Amino acid sequence: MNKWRLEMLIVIGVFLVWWLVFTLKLVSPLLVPHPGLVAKSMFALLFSAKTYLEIGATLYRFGAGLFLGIFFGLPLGLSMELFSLVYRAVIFWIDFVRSIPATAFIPWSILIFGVGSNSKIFVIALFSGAYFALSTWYGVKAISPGRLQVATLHGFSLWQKIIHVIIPETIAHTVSGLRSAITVALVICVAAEMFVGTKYGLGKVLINSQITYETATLYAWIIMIGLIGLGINKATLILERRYVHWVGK
Amino acid sequence: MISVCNLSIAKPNKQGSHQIIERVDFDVMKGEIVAILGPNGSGKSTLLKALAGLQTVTSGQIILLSKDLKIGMVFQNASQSLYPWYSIKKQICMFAKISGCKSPELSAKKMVDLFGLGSMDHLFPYQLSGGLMQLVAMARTMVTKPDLLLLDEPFSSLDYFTTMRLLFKVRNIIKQEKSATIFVTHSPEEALLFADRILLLSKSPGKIVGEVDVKLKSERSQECVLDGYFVEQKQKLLSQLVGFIA
Repeated sequence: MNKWRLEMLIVIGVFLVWWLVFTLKLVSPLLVPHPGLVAKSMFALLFSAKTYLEIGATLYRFGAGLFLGIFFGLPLGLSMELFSLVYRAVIFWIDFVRSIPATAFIPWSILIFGVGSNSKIFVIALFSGAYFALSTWYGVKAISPGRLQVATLHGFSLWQKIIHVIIPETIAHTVSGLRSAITVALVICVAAEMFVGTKYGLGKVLINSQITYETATLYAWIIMIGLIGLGINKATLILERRYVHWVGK
Repeated sequence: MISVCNLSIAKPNKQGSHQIIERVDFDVMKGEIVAILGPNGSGKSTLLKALAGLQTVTSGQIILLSKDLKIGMVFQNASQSLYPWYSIKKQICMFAKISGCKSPELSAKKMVDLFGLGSMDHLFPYQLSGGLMQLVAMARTMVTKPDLLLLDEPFSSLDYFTTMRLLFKVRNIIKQEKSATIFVTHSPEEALLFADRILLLSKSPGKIVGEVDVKLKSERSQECVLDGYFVEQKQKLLSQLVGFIA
């Protein structure tokens, strides 16, 4: 049985179990609505312009936070291996930040940056940056000494070594760090949007649906967030195969 | 081109230090190919790294003909030294450019053709066999026109027939380019077929215990293995190597 058939069978199986739970009234229909009702809500959401405003707001915060995380995380990770002083200065703080649940930072971030998007972007950037810096650092540590020695011997400058050897060599690790950072960024983004003061965003619509007991809509949004996450991950994999073709070969 | 005088190398270990190379002396002239032949653990690769400046020496001197002498090195495992993110053409061209070549594109094309890589220059290293990767590693080093070429067991991961095919090809190219070459190997056959002179290194600590001027014709080919002189020298070198192991 090929991979796609198996995946489709599992999806059908999950929907069948869901339908059975609803039909046999094993759980209150208020908590687990009919799959058809969820499909109807999903259909309605797809044809509502407001849906795209909510998705757009989340993707903007997610994208901006992730971009800032990469922008600061990549040079930080490189410097941690190249300059021991940088490593000693930041490793404790990276481990400290990673040990705190990201959501614990959100109330503090709202205090500092206000209820707008900036507070959410800050927390996403902080955590995705920490993940990205660490994976870049591991990547630089794992560089083949042979490749670096060849560069040294053939007169590469430090800058040329960074561009032609160190960055491409670390990409295997940074790409896996990017995938972790994407997952972390999406989780933080949706969680941060559940706090008061958010006008648009997927986190806000989840909370609103839950408060008003619109469970079919809640399920529809959850499925939609899952599909968005899946889409981002698949796109990352396609880009990885296209531009980082040497990884794992 | 290079003179090695009384060179000793020791590496620290739990007992204090372990002598790898002990009082080694030799010279290599321009265009000459010298093989350093020795058993595993005789310090051949360490000696080569010291000549490349990648290993600190304990005592002695490495005297280069000029301060600006260009050194090129091909490592044992090409897959660990090639850059898999660049195509063959791009990495050869990049090395030509960084080494200060005036027309890197042209030099890269010439080297690609010389090594017979023309039809596959768009491929990436991971798409090549071990033998082809080794050729790319050599082409990438040779394009920098090194005055001193260091080859660390470049054929060790290849099968017999691929080794024989590459060995004569690379020797011809080195002779054309006139680079002084130091070639490290544990195979007497490779040393005899590839080099003009062989230095025999003893087991740890490595000392030069013998020298052979290879009296085969300069234009080497597969036929050399049938030459009486080759068979005799190979037996002599083999018995000396076996003596180190016993």
